[in-house]
Amino acid sequence: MRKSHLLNTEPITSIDFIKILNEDRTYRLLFPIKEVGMAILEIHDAIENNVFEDKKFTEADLHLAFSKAHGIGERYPKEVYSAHIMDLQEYFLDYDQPTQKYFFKDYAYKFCEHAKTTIIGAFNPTRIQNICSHLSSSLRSKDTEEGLIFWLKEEFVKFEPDMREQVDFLDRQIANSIEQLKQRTLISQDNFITILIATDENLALSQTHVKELRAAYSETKIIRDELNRRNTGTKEIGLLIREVHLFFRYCNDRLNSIDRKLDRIQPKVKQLFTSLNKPVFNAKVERFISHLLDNSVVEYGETKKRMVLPEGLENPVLRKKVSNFTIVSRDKELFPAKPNERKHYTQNEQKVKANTNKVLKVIRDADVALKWEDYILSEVQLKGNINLSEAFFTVASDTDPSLAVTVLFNTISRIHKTPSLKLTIIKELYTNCDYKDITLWKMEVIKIQ
Amino acid sequence: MENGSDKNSIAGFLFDPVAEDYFAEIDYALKDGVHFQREGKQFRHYNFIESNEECLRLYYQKFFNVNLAREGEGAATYFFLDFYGSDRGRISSRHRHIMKSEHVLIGFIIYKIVFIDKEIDLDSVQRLKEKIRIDYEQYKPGLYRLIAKSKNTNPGNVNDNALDSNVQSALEEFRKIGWITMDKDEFSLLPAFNRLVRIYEKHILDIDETLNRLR
Repeated sequence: MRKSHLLNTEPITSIDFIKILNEDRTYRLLFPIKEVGMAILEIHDAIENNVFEDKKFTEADLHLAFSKAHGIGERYPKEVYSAHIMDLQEYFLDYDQPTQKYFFKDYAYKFCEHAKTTIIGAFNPTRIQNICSHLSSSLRSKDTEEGLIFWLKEEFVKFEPDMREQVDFLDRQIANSIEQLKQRTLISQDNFITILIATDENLALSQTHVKELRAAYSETKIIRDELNRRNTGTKEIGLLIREVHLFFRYCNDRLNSIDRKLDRIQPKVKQLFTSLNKPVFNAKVERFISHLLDNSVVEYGETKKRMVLPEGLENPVLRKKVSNFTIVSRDKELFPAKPNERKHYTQNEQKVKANTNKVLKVIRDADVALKWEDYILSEVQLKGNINLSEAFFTVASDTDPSLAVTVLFNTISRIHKTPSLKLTIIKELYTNCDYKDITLWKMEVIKIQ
Repeated sequence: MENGSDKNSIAGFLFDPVAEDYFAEIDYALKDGVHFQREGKQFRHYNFIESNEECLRLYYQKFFNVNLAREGEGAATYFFLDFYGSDRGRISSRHRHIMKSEHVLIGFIIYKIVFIDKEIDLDSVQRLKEKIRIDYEQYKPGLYRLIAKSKNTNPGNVNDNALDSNVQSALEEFRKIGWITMDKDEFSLLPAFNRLVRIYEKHILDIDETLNRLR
């Protein structure tokens, strides 16, 4: 989780981190050998118990801690201890020259406290609730994009380990409770009852803790909603928000998994209570298993070998093979459905011919109309003007009046689109003796110079 | 009159408002060997059986001559059709399904791991297989001989694979009859798993006499 976080934002730092740790002394300086680490823990314990004034200690105190860590009665030459102190001054210790005393650097406190909380654990849902509330209100106060990025990169990441630690603690609490039960050395029945009661109580407590922690995490929903609202679409913010969502999902999944684990374990603990007064019976079950293993035989059947239980033991009849329902149905393969007769339609050749002719006439008319239009317009270009009404009757007499109407309309339309041509309509009727039913306004097309 | 009340009693469960929804499913499953307990998906079925327990008992007794049995206590109560204790009822032999001896043996080993050795947090099928293969050295020769059907009672790939696949098939069988829940690698014993020990209880209690006789 944390690693991917780093990978997403600062991949180079991640690679350097491993590389630096791998270098000669760095790893040993950060993670000292057991004796040195134990001495540091010893000093930390003394600081917590206010043994040293101002949390500062002398080189003699360090030597004493080293000798304690090395074992009773064993003292090493001063040079060895001096070498240890020199190493520790890199990350763990600082020296105050005026008082000539040593004090812990921040890393030393973190080193000791992290180890302590990991081992002892401290279930504190109220703290988680406070952290979530703090994160939630701090997120709301970040109005700018920079503020949001700061929250995602610095504030949230700072509290992430605290939130994760609580889930780890619950998991460990359950594992420890069960481990005590498994100790085979506890033969005493009274002891076992005490441990079983304690385990049962511990598991019930863990279940309550899961609920409390889930309630404490409820504020994260507000954080998630707020982040979704603020996801402005920039790649960097999107990736960081995704990390936060993944972390919350991780916590939730682990709580669910712990819940399921408790659901499975608790009935078994209860069952162990019922088998408490049956140590003799359990011993007999173990002998019965040995009896099964030693006295069962393998018989060779027709096709394969089968195990047969010792004489006198019958195999349990546990199931009745429930009959399959008989469904009466027609097999489509054996009795295929009779295909419907395919209908053949005969074409009426006369109608096909008539329709073809109709279509051909429309195409031909369109072609003739286009040629007339081109003719009329070229006449205008040539002569400078044309009597369109007269042209209409010329077309009508050459073809038919309906085609002449098409030519007239199309020509007018083309004249409108041509700026160099102008159509003039004179309110004077124009007729033709061959077409007594048709009367037109006198229309003239002029070519504008 | 007496006959009339009997009739009413036997048919009583048919008038349960949820009978239409559940009875056919429960009837089919009970005959298929399923044990019902207060667990997850079985909860409603269990409630139906519990609230109609007497009618159903009469029904199965009269028409199939098998006993609808109740075992366990409190939350660990479970119901099943007892084909074993009722002289097989009117179930013809070709309709009976007998649990394989290999599965009986594996069932007992699981019982020992969980309830005697108190590995109560064991919930992975893979880990169970590994545990049987690695942690129970004393059982290995017998397991290889009986389960892997091998003359070579030393560990080896073939023996271990045979053991693993038998553990898997035993768990599948136990899941079908409602003794365990199993979802991919995750498994959990249900109260009805105790049925295995109940079936052989008499033989377990007499084991010392049996072993003495065999000496």
